[in-house]
Amino acid sequence: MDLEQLQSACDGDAGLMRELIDLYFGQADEIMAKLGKGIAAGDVGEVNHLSHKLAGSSLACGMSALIPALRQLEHNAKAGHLTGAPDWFAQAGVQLEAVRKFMRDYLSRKSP
Amino acid sequence: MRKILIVEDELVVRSIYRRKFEMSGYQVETAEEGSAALKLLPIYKPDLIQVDIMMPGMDGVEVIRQIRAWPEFREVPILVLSSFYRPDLAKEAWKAGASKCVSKMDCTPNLVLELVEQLLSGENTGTAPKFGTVALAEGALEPARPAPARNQPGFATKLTLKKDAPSSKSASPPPAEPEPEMVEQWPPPEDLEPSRPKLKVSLDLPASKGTAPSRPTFGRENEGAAPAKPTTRPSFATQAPKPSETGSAEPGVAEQPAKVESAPAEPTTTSGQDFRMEIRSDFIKRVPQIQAELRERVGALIKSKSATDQLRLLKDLESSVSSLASLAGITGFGRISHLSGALDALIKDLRKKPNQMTASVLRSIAHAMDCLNLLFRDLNQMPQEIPQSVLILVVDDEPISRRTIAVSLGKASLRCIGIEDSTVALNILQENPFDLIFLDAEMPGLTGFELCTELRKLPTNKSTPVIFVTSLTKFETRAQSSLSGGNDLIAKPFLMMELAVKALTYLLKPPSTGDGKTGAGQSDE
Repeated sequence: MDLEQLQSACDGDAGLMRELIDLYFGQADEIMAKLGKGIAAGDVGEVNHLSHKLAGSSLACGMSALIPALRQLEHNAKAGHLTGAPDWFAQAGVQLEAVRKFMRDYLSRKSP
Repeated sequence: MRKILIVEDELVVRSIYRRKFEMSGYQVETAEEGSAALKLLPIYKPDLIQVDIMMPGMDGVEVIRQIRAWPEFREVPILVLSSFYRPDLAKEAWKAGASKCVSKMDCTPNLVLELVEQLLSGENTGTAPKFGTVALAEGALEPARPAPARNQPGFATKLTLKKDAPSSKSASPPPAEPEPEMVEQWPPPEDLEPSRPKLKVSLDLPASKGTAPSRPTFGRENEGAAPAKPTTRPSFATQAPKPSETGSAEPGVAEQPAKVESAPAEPTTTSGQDFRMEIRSDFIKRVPQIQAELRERVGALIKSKSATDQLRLLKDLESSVSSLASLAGITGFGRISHLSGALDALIKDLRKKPNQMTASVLRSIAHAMDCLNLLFRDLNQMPQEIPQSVLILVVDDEPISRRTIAVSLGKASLRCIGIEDSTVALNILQENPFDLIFLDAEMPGLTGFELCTELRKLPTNKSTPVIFVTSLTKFETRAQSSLSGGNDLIAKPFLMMELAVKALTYLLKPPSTGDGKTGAGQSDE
């Protein structure tokens, strides 16, 4: 978790940070659900687009733990195959939950 | 004779204000740094203190804190000159006990003189601010009492963020010491050009799905409730609202100064006009020297490979750019002042976060310098006012990115329409000319590059600057950007001020630059 990047993305604004985090997790859950379906269906275009999209928002919000798995998914999908996609997808899911827990703890510590 | 103390590190700015106040019958003393001012204070006993917020050594906020810790000077009006791009500093100054904050980017000596007279006359009529309960400095002899809730610190101009997504401030209850609010956006709603065509496509279309704005109005939200139109130019003067307006009155806290609804009119006296012409002429004479210094410092920064060198060079560049922002503001060269002020804020961010010094940031700084050079070139040939009406489109399927771009633009009081769907965006672009467009490179449906290629065929937006916002920074992306008709790239993740500088670079660019591109409000169509 790159907290410095997250803080930078919010420019030190605590309200904006909460807003971006809510947006991020809302979007991440939606994308992960679609990504799972895309992998199951062997839809390389969909996997390429969704993994790129989630990697971009993860980067912007400092959720760096997800990025390697998502980049690998994107890379493979762009190359036209989904080799190892279920494993990369599972890894991204594990990291997403870890980041979610971290942020929940972080925000509860920061709450007055 | 009323006495004014000016605390300002910039010699030329100090001299200009000294002369202006002396011409108006005030006795003036100056200090080029905070510690000197504090030594002078008990001897000189000024009736009003003007403080520059950004000074080397002891900054303006600390100077104000220390002044207010002195019982004798708790009620002396303090007028603060701050940066439009650093509302955080205005807030700090306010908390420390400033009476008013004005943006250096937009204030002329006439405006400052008018504010000085208001502050001093407010004292006579018993409406001067009292600071007895406000943020005493550490170590003050009296225990600090809680600061009263001041509902409107910062610049007296309200920034109404577009309704792209809920405001961060709206998500939480009103804070005890609220953020400084830009209460007037750029452009002020009442100043929008009447000729600016309204959007011809209803944004209740699917374009508004997700968190995109359901009805962006480009500064028209306040129509009908807009404050009185400023007489000449937007005023960014700050003051607290009267307690009766906010319900925040606290026993023992005096009424705050009356709201400045508009900037004072330009002087009609010959001496006022002469003074203005003289300081403008002096500035123009100094331009070659300023340009040479900036060119040298930016060049050295771009060539530098070592992080230590970069930090040192950033400090040097900050000094030059900050000085330019002040000088251009005071002399009425609004475009130069705003661009250099934003650049100054970006450089300050970079000094705090040197690991954010990417190739994209360096490129943005270099482009801003190019734009400044063009503005210097055209000092006598084009209006220097900031554009009065600006439409920016952001097309990105990713809500966080749209929100971050909107907040970044908000730092320059710019607003945008955020569109999630690139096909819908193309429909809107067919009918509506924009001043600037930000495109995500990779989107479902039409990619950013495809959208750019298409919009270049439209008479409405064939020459609108297009900036791609992308995490793809490889050469192929740059090539694709150029081939599709894009003007520039900015790499994700970006510093908010970098994006603001990038936007201003294109919006403030003079009309004819030899590349066929135009700046906002300068369309040649």
